[in-house]
Amino acid sequence: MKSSQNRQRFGILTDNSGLYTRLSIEENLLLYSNLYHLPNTAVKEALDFVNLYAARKKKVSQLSKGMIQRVTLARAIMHKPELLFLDEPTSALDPVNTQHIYNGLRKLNDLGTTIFLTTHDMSEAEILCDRVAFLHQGKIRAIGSPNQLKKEFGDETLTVELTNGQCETIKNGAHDAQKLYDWMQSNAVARIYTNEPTLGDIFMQITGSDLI
Amino acid sequence: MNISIARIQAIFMKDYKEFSRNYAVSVMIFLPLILAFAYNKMGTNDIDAYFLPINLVFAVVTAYVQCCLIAEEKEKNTLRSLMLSPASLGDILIGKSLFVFIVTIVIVSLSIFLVGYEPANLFILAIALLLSSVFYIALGTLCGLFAKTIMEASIIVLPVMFIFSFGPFALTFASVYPVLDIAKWLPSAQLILLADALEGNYSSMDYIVPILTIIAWSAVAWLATGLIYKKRMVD
Repeated sequence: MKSSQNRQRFGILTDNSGLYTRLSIEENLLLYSNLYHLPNTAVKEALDFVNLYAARKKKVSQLSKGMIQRVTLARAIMHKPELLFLDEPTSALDPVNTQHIYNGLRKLNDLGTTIFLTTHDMSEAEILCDRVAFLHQGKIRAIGSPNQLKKEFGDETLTVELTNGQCETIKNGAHDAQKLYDWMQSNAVARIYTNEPTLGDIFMQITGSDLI
Repeated sequence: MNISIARIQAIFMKDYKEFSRNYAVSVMIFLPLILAFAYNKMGTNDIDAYFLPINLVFAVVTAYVQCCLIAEEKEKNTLRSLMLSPASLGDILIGKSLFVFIVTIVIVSLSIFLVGYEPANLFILAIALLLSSVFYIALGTLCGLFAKTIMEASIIVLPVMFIFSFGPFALTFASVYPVLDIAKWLPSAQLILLADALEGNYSSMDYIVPILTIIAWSAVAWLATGLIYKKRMVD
């Protein structure tokens, strides 16, 4: 990336934190806010984004893996980039902080940031992504919205759980409609759900291998 | 080249904080000071002895500290983060060198004071010392860019420190081994030749040649540093 202006337009979160371990969280972010010529309020905003304002005076060497991940994320988003590259942004985070980060990323996306997320966590991809691409051996094997992909790779069947504990799989269409009607008439239906594949199932279907 | 004072200042402040908390490296600044004090107490009063602690400052403070600072940035992937920020090549190299430059000036001044050296022409000597700092910073940066870890940097910088600090001693054997006469073109040897000349009746060539030699060393070292840095910017 040649010019300084271009570098101002993107943010990046990689597996290597690249933080100064002898400095505090705040000192690390302050350095980058000065490099990006940001106002001092940017540090507080970034710390609030990752829920770390209270721990801002802690040295990076004393932080847990999850906290380091959040500081790195704060650094990546503090200049509100147009394009944000995230590599496993919530790995090592607890559910509360994961949810906090998800909310923040959605807000950032609403404000116009394009987020390019790399993840092995398919539920994360489903929650956060508008479009998902499955990469296998350096090639894109499938691309589309999570719903579109599920529809494309699903078999359009429904599972009906009956009150007697039996599970029946029926196909969407006139042929099985009568069966379903009869069960409902006799009050025998406990639960009905679609058998749409998860993104993980789709990946295995496409590649014939497990997620690494 | 796009240079920003605010960015240089930010990198400088960061280096100051990191250095002051990194005792393994910061303790090195005391080594030439102790040596200068000891030489003074031993009653040393010749130029070669005066310049031993001074050349040691350039080796163990300027080159070594700069090398460690750069190598640590590489080891911890912080240099990569700096390169991905809007800071330009100039911002990073100047910012990272400024701190070591200031530390060098302070330690060289203290060493001169402690060793009891009173140069006949402080102005000309100061120019040569400042130019030498610029050269040794480039040398340290270059070694740091080649090293992958601080441990590796400590080893890479050793022969460099040895050649440039103790190189002038090789001249003692130049009468027996004429090939060693080449050592007189080392910046450290030129510094001693210059200081020696300043103590007597000197002509303008006596200080112009050493100064130009040090400038040439600096230019080559910085050019190599710039090229290696740009190579390291590409994965």
